[in-house]
Amino acid sequence: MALVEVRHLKKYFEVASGTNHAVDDVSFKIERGHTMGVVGESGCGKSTLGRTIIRLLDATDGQVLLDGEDITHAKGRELRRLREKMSIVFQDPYSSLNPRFCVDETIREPLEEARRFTRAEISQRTEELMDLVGIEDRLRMAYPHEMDGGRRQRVGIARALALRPDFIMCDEPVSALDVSIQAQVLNLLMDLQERFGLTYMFVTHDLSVVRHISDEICVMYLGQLVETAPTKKLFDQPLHPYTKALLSAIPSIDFSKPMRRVQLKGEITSAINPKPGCRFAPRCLYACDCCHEPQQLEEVEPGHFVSCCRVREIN
Amino acid sequence: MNETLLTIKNLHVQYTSGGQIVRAVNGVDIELKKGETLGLVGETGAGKTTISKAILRILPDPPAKVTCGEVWLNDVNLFDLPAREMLEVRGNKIAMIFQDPMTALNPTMTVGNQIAEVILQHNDISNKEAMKRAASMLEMVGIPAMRYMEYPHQFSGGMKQRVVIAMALACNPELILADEPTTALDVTIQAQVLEMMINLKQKMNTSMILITHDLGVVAQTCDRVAVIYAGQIVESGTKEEIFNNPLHPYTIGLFGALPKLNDDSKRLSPILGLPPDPTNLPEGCSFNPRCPHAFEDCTVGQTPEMIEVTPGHFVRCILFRKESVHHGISRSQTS
Amino acid sequence: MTEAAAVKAPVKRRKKESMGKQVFRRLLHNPTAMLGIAILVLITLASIFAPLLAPYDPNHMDYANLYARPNAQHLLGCDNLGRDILSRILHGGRYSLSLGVIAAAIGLVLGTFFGCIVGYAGKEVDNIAMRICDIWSSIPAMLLAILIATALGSSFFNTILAMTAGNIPGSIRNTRALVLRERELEYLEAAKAMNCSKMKVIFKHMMPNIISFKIVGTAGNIGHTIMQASGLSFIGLGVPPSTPEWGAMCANARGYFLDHPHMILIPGFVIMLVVLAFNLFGDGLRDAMDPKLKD
Repeated sequence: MALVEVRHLKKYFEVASGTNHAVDDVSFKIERGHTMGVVGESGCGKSTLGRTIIRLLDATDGQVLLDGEDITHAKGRELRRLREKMSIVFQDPYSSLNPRFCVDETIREPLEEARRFTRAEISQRTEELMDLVGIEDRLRMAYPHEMDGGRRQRVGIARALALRPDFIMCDEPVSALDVSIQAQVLNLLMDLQERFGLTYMFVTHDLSVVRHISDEICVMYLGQLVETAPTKKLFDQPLHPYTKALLSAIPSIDFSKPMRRVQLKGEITSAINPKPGCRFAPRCLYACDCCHEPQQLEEVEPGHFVSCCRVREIN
Repeated sequence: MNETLLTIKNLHVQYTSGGQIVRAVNGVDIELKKGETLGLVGETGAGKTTISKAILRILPDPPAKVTCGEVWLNDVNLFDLPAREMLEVRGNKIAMIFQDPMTALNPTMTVGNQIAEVILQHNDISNKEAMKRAASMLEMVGIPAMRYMEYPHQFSGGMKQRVVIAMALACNPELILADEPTTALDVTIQAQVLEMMINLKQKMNTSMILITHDLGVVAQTCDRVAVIYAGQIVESGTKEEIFNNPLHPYTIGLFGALPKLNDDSKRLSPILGLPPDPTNLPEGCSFNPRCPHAFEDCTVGQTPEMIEVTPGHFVRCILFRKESVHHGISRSQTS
Repeated sequence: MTEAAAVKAPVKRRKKESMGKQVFRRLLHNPTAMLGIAILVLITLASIFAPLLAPYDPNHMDYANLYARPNAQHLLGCDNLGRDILSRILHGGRYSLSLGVIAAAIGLVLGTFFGCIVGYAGKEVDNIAMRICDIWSSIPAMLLAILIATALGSSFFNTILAMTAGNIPGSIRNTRALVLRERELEYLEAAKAMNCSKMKVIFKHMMPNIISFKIVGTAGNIGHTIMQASGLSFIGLGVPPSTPEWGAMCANARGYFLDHPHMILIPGFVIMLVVLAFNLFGDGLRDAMDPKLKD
């Protein structure tokens, strides 16, 4: 059974100019111990999706199942229990740590909040966690501003790990870091996954990172899920026109193969008061009348889902 | 193509902050030919942006101070120019494209007028003529001229960056300094903007220094590459040389740390440790504390000299010193 | 990671110091803040020991010395009724300082408390609370004070009440703005994700990060409050007329400004000095409370 299952999840926001359909009818599953990469461009709702799943935001409609249990409407004590099973690593290692809390205070806080450990246990676990993520003991009383981005992100990871969650939602955890530091943090995340059997949802806009770390990938465009498939399959054989365009746009370090970019018309529109149908249609080369009907996520091959009415014609 | 446009000689820049001296740029030499694109690659704090601001002489002084060096544009040393003549150079001969398009545009002015203003500042022409030229600049970067009278907030991020580029190109500059011009943009938009920049540059035969941390962008746009570490160029050469045959351990480390699209290995090989503290650079080679090949000679004295390994391919590493070549090879074999 | 330790070792292992101690130690190293503190301590002590220090009774009228300029007998001169200005300044400090400090402090505490809640609670609460603040602050402070003074009578305590009432909406609004900015930061979301209650998120995580900005604003507010209170005294609704209060002294001297400028300049200068001292102190305190500050 999948650890996390999302069924027809919707999250709408009321904004000045209408309703923002930030997440619109998204369904997928994440197997235990796997990493689901969620990619998409800014404003496609990938962070909102992650926050809705771990209940930092309340869903407008649909269901989120954790270990087979519907957590969409959990409240009070129930929610407290669930929050110990799920945690989050944030994008910005600067703003995600309280500037007035030192490393020790930051890491021990979730343990204190759990209200079931003794002081000695908390201290011991804090020490273990620091060791686990590779923060030197001398930094125990250091404040966030005294550390570099990579170390800060390690502190954020230690905090997320404190209560041994099953599921960690990683919201662009390495995009604010330099390449050399980014590799250190990615390796750490993968080691931890192996060691504790963690399940990740990895939200990012960086396709090479997501390819490196994910088992499966979801591609989102303006709140809609356009394609989901195992990583290798998605990169070898993208089916949705948007996925193709996205993959072709990555500047490759292999310059002997010049970019053969799939041409896109225009710019990203918005998910505010969208028309029914495929939201990518206005930029799509293959758009036709049927694209203005609501699209269904269709299993084209085992495990490879695409939301495009013309997927068979154009491939 | 072979005429040299810009020469930077031994540039040193320091910042003073809280009584400490931050050595941001420590002896940078750059030579740029007409029509050529040079990629400046390096991590946060390596001094990339400081170099470009030093060229334009827009470093805030204090705290920044150019302690040494010359910047020659054609036959003129920019550091010797009086401030008034420098105004002529900025925008007219050298234009800069910043990372964040939002802060580079004035939110209360229409985009067309912002471009026209730049043109008017450097050319003795009528308002009408300037507006006409501004409209054609917009068309050139792929924005319909009918949007001339719109304000920056009515444009998306990618469109705004196009406007910024149009402003930079408005006076046919000889040199463009592009500081992470596409970092704030989405992948598909980045591809569009990069493509457009390459085409325009070719059409106008402009030289460009492209500052970025993204090796993919460099691979797709640049002719030559200079890798910067701790305020020094540690390796420079043609793109082909650097990408196919990187020599400096830092350059090799950078490539190793990159998750590759066509590689399925599970673990990345990061560069160990952290970039050095610019107030307290290590002795000898700045990279020695993180270098897998470092030995005693690397940790003493001055930073190593640039060594020309093959014609046009320079590296700042004593492993490639003639007398230590043997030593270097044996070191790298054992590691 | 051992190499990393060798590369950059800015932080040494140290014992955690309590926040108060740390702030105090940093204040000691800040000369301008110390100057502010010195002025404040001096004026406060002088006010407390006014009965011992003052050469005359503050209300004693010396008809031989009406409008006297500063001289050996009356160091700071006398006012239109022949009262010794130095004595009145010393005694006045007791009213003016406590009035300014108490009113501003109550405004700080209540404004921060409600501002945090309003800013964090969400759209509806925010909307209602802000409209109330709008209405509240659209009533001129003076009118509000007059209302309170007529309803409850004029006394020192009621003057503080009136001044506080005028301070609160501004303080709430100002706190709310700080909260809205802070809200965007992910560490608050992180706190929520690890099961912190709303109150804990607000008061344990967010408030310590905005309080230093509030304190600086409050320090500046004290002088303003002293001046406003004098306005009340002027129309006879603040502290009782004969009370030696700095603001009232200024108000009283207005009519004689051209002929006898010392009557207004001296209390004016003292108010300015206090405001300056509070500002220096406030700035120093803000810096000392900033965790990013290097020791």
